[in-house]
Amino acid sequence: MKTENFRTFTASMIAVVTVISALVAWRAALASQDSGEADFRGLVATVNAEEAWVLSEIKVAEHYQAFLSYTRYTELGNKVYDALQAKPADASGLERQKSDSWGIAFGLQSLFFPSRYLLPDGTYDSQREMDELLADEQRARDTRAETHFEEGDNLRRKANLLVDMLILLGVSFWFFTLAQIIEHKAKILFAFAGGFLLAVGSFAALIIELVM
Amino acid sequence: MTETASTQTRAEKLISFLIAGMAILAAVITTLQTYAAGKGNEAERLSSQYAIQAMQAKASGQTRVSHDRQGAYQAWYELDLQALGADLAGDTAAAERYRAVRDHIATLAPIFAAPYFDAASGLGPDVARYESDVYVVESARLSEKFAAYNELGNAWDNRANTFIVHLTLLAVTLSLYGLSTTLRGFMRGVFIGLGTIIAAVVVLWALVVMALPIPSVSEEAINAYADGVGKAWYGDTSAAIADFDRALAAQPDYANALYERGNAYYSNGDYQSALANYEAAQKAGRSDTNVGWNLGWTYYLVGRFDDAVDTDRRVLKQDPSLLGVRFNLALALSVRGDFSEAEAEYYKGVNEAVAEVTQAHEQGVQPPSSFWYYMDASAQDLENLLLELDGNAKPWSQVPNRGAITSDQAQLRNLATSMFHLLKDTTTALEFTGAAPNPNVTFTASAFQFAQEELDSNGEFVRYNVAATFPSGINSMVILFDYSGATPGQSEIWKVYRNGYEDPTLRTIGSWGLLESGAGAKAITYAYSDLFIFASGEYTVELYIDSRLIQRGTFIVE
Repeated sequence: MKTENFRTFTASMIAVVTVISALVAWRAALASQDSGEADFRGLVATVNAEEAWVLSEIKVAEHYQAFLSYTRYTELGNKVYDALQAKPADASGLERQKSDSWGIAFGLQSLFFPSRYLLPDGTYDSQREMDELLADEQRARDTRAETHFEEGDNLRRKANLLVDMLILLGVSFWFFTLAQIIEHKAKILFAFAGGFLLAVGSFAALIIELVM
Repeated sequence: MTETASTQTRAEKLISFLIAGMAILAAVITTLQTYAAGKGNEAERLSSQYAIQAMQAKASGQTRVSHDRQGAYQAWYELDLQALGADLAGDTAAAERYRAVRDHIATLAPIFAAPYFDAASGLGPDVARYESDVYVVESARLSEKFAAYNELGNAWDNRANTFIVHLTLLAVTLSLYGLSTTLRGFMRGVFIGLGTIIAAVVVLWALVVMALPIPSVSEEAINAYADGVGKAWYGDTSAAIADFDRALAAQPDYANALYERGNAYYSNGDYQSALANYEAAQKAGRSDTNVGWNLGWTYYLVGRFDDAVDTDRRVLKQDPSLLGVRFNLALALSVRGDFSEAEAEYYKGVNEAVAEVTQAHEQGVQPPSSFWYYMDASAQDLENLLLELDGNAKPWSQVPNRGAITSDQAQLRNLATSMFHLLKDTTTALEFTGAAPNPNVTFTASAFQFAQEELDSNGEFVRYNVAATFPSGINSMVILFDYSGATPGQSEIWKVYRNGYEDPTLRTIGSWGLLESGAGAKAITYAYSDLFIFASGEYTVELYIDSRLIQRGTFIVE
């Protein structure tokens, strides 16, 4: 009768191990799937970030090119103005040249680059413009790939650890089976070992599931 | 009965034991499979990330360089020309103004900083060096990482897939064990034995898979390689070779580093070292047509014509549409003395060229720009060969030493001359008419004479001063020739080459407007402005009538 009860116990424990193993495998598969999705979100963010960089670079380069033309005509106007201060004989030609140069410079400044980035020393703060454009893009779109990749790595670690627990549960299953099929007194020891591994494996899987 | 029952029970216990053992084995292999698949995904993710970043580095870097060159340097150049013009017109005040603005512009863009630009040198900025620093090195580094992590990802995926095969085999084992419980006697033993053998194979196989190495990514090798690519980009090939040496010290089978080191040796004129590196690159896995193309050409240059022919044939087997390789094969066959085969290859190449252009035009598209380059280069290769046979090779010629050419030189000269004309005619005809050249051109012209006009103090023409060599500083040249067989309205194209390369700014296209025969004088000139002169060098002028090369001649500017 005692033997029969023991067999019923080990059979029940084998069933419990099987069910817990299935649950752990399910959670591992889910974590693995989630890690793949996090990786994909990371790649989308990478594409967004790099696209934002290229588009901003093009915009800043275009503005800088317009700024260079603006500088060219402003400086030319300045030099002609300096020449006019000496009251030369051909003043009317120079006057027209100065007016044209400064006029073109004003037109370029009005239409082709934002004056906000002009610095008092006559240079153009293209780095600030670039940084601001990138900040705009970060606000408008997901460009932080590393966050997603970190999440993906964590989920992958979780899936690996859960699958590692399947080994403990497999060994537990093996001990219970051994306890089930042998007649020797050692079967108690095997059942104990199986129970211990079942407890450790299940507890560890629960902790992994809750913490990660 | 009792004994049989006992045997049955023992067997069933054994089966239960084995099934439980399989559960452990399956759990272990599942763990290994999950780990390998995870590593594979991680590597593939990095690979994709690097591919995207490499593309960004190239796109934004090229944008920056092109705006700096086309914006900043172009503005600087325009102001410099305006200053020069003002100087020549005697308006020194305006010249000073232009120079002051020009120098101010030079403070506003990094392309004007050292080591890219030195205004005192009289040269433009070293754009290649600027490109190298802005994006070439970085994009090479990222592209290599993309390839390396892709390879790593594939290796982990292969391992993970092999573990899946193992799990499938374990499922078969479990089903054999399960079925054995329904059997008795010998057959039960067979099922248990077979299942156990499969399980043993799986264990051994898994151990072998675990022992096999996974390729590693050597950041040190990649960084050194990228540095070398950057230096080679702006022509510092000796420093590039040192970088490739470092890359290969870190990773001796780095195929791309071997190939690029081969290219650097080639640029240095060390063809034997180039060959050794190209061959090593192929052995290390670079089996693409680029390596084969360079290898075949270098074999030709060092006089290994049999190897050149074999290599070119192999490359054409991989990709028969490579026109440049087709003409290289024809050239190698020519110098080897296989004249009829060489001629057949030239005609095959020309027919393919005509077909490619015709097809492109029918589809409303254009052939790639490299098409014209390879057509021109193939004609240039024949000209270089003819010059070498005459003992008159130019410093820019790439040609094997005539001592290595043992075939009949008279036949070779005839073939090279006729194929040179075929390629020249075909290229011009395809570019300007989109069809093969007109075979019925009767136009003939005498040898060109080159002359400077002599004018009197009133600016009236006095005479032509004919010469072959002219002093530095000229900005105009007159080509004198007698002609006959002309038809008014025929297309007339003049091309001018300096040191073997065409200067397209001197190309003129028009229709024949003179008589049927007579004396012609054609001016090629920069005299529309007083800012430009002929740079020193050897100039070759070619006249094409209805796309046929009629005459060519050469003059030198000191």
